[in-house]
Amino acid sequence: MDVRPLVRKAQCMHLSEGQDVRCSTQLGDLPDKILWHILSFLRLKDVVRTSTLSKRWEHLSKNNPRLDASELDFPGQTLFVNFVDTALLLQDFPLKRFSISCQTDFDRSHIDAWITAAVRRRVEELHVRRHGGLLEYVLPSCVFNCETLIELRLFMLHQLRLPALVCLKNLKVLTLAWVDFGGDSSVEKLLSCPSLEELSLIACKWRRLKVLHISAPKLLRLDIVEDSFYKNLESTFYVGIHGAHIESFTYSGQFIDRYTISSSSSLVVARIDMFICERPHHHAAYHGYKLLKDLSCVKRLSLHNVGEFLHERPDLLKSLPVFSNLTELALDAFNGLPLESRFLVAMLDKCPRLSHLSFTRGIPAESETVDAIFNPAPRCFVSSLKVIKISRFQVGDKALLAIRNVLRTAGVLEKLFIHPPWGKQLPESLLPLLKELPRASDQCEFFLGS
Amino acid sequence: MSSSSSSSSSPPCPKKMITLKSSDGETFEIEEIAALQSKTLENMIDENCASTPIPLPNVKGKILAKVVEFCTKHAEAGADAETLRAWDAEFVGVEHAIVFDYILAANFLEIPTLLDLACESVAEMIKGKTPDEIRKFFNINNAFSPEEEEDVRRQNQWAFE
Repeated sequence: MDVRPLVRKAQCMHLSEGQDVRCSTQLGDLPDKILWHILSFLRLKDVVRTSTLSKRWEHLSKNNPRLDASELDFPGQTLFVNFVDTALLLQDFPLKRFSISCQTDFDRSHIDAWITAAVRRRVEELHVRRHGGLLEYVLPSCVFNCETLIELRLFMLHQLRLPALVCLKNLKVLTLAWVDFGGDSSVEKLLSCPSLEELSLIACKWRRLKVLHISAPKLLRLDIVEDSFYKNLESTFYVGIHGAHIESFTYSGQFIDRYTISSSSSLVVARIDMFICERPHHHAAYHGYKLLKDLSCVKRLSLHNVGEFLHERPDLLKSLPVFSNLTELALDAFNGLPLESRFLVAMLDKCPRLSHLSFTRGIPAESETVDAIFNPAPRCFVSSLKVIKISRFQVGDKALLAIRNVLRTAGVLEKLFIHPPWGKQLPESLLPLLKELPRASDQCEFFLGS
Repeated sequence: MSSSSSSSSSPPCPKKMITLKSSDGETFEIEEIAALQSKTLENMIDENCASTPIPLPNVKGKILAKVVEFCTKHAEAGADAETLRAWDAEFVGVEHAIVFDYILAANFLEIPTLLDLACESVAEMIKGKTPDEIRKFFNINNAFSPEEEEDVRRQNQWAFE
């Protein structure tokens, strides 16, 4: 334990009040563990420069439990290899994090030696980024049996070849980006690790499988981002998410695949981002609707462009589930969600306890007669809606009509936030105009932002 | 009136408040839900030691006030990421001695969001500066002889070019 801060404070307290002495905390007062944490936010060049600050900093540099090296940081490959060799192979103390990023195809025996050394040094966080390069790269199998590994992030355009035995009993965080899952389902061994809490799958290629099961029993958070260029529109691929404790789910994609969340009652927050594309998959709306059904227990929900997909399917909109726990809803659409949107109307009808509603891209109203909107008002407007936030608000007659309709019906509204688009200002006349509008709620306050 | 350990699934009607006491005797009230961002406080609340003012001998009143402000802000419902980021930037836009105090408090109270925010802001102060500039800025005494310093430099010449 570093006692210097306590010693310094004690020294300060002995000085009489008349003396003018700087008693404030210095960088050097912070313990080693915290200085290493600060260094972890710096690029390698800046970290190495600190080694000349003082003897203490040289010591910190040499014993840094985190090594983040990118080939791009070095003027040449030889320097890169020499540096990592020295830092990794000539030291023995336990390593907290090893992050390596390689651009070119060099002798893979170097990377193998480094990763094996990191595992031997009981590494907890391993990040491997392999950009470019044509040669296939297979990770040393010791990675998949490393009992100290808590976090693994792989960014590589290659096929993941797993050894027969995969045992990562302490792995809590896993990120796989651009990885090709190949044709056999051995990747499921990784996706069902016993301690896994956070899983991110980014632009992975998985459609050579027919089905993918994500069954990590302790999974709390799942983020899936599809590769927008990877289509293979013919096959509908099925992703089954089984986890009794999952709390957060985010998805970005085109809903080419069918997703099922089997025990979703623990879900608290979800976000769905649908990619805009010219020709959406013919099952996209149905897949989106099915997923919404699985998300019916969430408390906070963010939907982006979902309205556009379901707009043409009144049959699905009619069967939307009731979101009985939903208190916060954020909606966004590529050009702003019009208030006449069938999706908006259907959705609000199914959220009886909604208290916070956000429109992240304004609220245009398209048709000439906007009086029919919110008439009758959704249940939640009358009894539970307390806060409305409108971002990127464009002032216009129709927009004001839309607000007028909302204010007329929202009986328990407490706050209305309005923000202009970035870099613009709201007109001064807006606030007095709003105050004059008839309101169903007499406790409603307006907050106009900049 | 002490409640038997009830789970947090009951409706959040009256906000439960916790009292904290700084090293210099000041007391501060914080909503329980905001206090849960501190693993240290979360453990104490779980073990039901949270009814009397919790003494925090390592944190001055001036700093504890700001820590309470931070935790309260981050526990707010309906906060959007952009606004929160801007607020965070302002929060650490103070003289660096105070940022170091935030770091020590966040470390002691185990508040990872505050610790990361404050540490990253210090890293920003170090970024791009020459060793001389860093020494001056942070009042670091150089205990190297010129030869020793040159030696360390030479080991990683590429970083100084």
